[in-house]
Amino acid sequence: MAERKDDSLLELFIFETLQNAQQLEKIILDTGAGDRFSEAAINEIFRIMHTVKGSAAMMSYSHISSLAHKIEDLFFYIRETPDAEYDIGTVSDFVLSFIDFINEEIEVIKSDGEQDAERAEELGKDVEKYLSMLKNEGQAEGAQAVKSAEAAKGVPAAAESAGYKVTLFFEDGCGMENIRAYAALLEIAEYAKIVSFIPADIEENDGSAEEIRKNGFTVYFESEASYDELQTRFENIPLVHEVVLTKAENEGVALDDTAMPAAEPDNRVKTEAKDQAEANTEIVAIPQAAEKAASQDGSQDSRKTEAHQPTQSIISVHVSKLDKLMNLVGELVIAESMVVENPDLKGMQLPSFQREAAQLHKIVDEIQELVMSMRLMPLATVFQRTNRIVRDMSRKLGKQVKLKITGEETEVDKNIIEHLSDPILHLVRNCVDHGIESREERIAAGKPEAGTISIEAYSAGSYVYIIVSDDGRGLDKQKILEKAMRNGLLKKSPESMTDKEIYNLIFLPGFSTSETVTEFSGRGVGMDVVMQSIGTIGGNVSVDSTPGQGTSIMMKIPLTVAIIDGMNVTVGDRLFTIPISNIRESFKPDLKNVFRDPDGREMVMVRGECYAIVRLHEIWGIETSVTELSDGILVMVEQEERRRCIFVDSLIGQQQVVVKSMPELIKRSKLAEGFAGCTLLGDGSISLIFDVSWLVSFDI
Amino acid sequence: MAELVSKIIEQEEDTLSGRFLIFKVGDDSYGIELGYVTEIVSVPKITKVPGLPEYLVGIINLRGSIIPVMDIRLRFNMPKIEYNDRTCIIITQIDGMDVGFVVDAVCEVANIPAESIVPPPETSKNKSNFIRGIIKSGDNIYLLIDYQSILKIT
Repeated sequence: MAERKDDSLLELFIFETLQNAQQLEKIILDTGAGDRFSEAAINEIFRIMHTVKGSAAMMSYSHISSLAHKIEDLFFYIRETPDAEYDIGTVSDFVLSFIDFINEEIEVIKSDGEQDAERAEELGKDVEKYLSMLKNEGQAEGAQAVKSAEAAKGVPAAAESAGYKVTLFFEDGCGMENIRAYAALLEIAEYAKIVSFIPADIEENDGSAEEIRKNGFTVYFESEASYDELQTRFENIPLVHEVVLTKAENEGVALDDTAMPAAEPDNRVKTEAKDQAEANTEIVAIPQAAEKAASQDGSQDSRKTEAHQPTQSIISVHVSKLDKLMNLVGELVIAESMVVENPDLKGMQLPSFQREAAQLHKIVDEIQELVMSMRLMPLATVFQRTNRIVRDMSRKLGKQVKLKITGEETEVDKNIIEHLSDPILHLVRNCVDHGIESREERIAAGKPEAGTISIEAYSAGSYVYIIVSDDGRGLDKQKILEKAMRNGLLKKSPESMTDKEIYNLIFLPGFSTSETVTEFSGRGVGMDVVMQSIGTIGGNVSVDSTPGQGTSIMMKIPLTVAIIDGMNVTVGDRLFTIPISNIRESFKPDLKNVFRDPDGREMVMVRGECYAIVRLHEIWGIETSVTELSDGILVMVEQEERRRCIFVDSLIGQQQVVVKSMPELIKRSKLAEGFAGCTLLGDGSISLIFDVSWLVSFDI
Repeated sequence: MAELVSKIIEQEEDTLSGRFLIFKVGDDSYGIELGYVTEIVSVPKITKVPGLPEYLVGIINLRGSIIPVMDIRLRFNMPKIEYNDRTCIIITQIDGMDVGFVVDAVCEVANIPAESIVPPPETSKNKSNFIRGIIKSGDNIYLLIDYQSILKIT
């Protein structure tokens, strides 16, 4: 185990860099359709590159930081040269390669491996070459434009070093202006030759801060950079509020004269500066205002990028803290019931206590909702990654594919998201690689040229459903059967299997129907890994298909980390909980409406419809005195449009329950099918929560 | 620094290695590595879970955690007896799972060097599938549980 300077610092770096990379990717993919980057997009990309460069440098990952710097330069040029003839595809590819590089380097860093400085260098060289090509073209064409622009400002084209004077005003109340001025000086020295500055005693005299506050910090320097470039650089100096930049013409204001920081020369400088100001300076407003103007231009895009700026309204919290918080809140809910429903208080009339207990309950409710929502993340984070895959793969394979995403705002616990992303990405890859046919095939089949892959998500009851489907060629039953037979995976005879059963063979380990292993899929480790990942979070996967029309894969994920509304019921001495969202109604049956169907199954008629009755005490051999339907209660439950009536002894009451998943041992045995989890009631006893989808579908 | 760290880890492992918790079920005494044992509790209310084999008698609430409980007697096909005040549940963590075992009584913690463990003889007793070894310690014979097989629920 290698020594890490600071694990938490590294973790933060990894987290932030990955986030930045993701944002970057989103911007690139969103812009993909047009042929130029919007101003807001350029600014955002520049900002992100700048951040990544800085933090990589701080962690001593110089290859990442210098590559980021080169791309930053590219975007700086694009920003400053509005009519630069760049090819958006090429530039996007550079950024995307950078993102890929970052993602891979982060993995390497995480596992303490060898960092790939060579690759960074190569990519950097490519970027540099492209940039200088752009510049050369730009200079040939745009030299005229640049000249005229500067002529409008009354300043000749600056190809050689020229003298400038700049006065910087810092933000009100930032304090220590002399120190800030000193820092600014160091920065300016990077791209300019400093001649002199006023006040000159910033290092020794703290009183100079007061002067700077009143008159600003003035620097005389020489530089080859263009007026605009300098302007921008000055604006970017931290805490600079105003920039007054003057180009020293061949005028009487000889730069040497103003070297003395005495009072009189100051006055002279000021008056002359005022004259200059009228002629050819530009007082540039606060950088934020400039950005606002820019964002008004690209209104739509800016809304998007503004939404993605990690502003101060978001902070990152370590997941373990959230986990602990969630556990504690769960215990709080239980403890609250233990107090409020304490057997000691049974039968007592306590109106004041009840009132306060209700208040307590309200507050606990709110806390619990809030905490739950903290751990929930929208599936969008996973779904958006598929955009990139579809783009890359369809380009490589020469297919046209459209991606349709619905329900990405559906929220799911963070744990679950982590287990979902690989499977979903794999499924989408499969769709593009195997599902969607080539353009010619599709046209021949009378389908639209572009294939469509849709990803849909919605929550129903205590489950989240995610469906990945395509309108491609569908699954080949014959091929699947052959492959299964070859690999000895057939347990039943093919004739006795339904189509759906045959299609679901693809989830068995070691299965693959591609003849060749392509770069993207076909190694036979895909589908069964999908099944495993989904299984780990307690869900399941199934597939259905229509040959020639398409395939659809459905994942059903239980929300095990959940606090749900449940109805507690008894059967004998056992306690069970039914999720309220699954209950349609409950009633004492009229024996007149109860009968047996031809197969001997007990049914009850409710408003003209027949429903099967589920006698829990019989199925599970529970002893109870309530065996007559008229002595107990029928609860009509529904899941996915199937309904049955569950016969229980009595309803105890509605309660918010913390769903705890069944213990691992039991889950692995796959034997307690009827239950989605369990919960602790107020007195510490355990109630089992029904899995309604099993209840409405098992063979009675 | 690295050597110091590995020395400490070694020492920690040493405090548990070679130490077994000895318990009784029926006429026999069994041993389980102390490293797997998290605690020992008296039998609380056990909630039955329909659909499970009989030897998985149910789940218990241990300070908010739900732990599944296996009755060793039933697992070894021995006749069931009434739980009395000597009956305990040994809470373990094996293979990432929490499991509790109901045993007649817990006896002691014994230090047993690895050399004294011998493979089990071939017998036709029901429980032989679940025994992975036998320890002879002085006059005592302890049967070592095979966790993989005992936790294989079908």
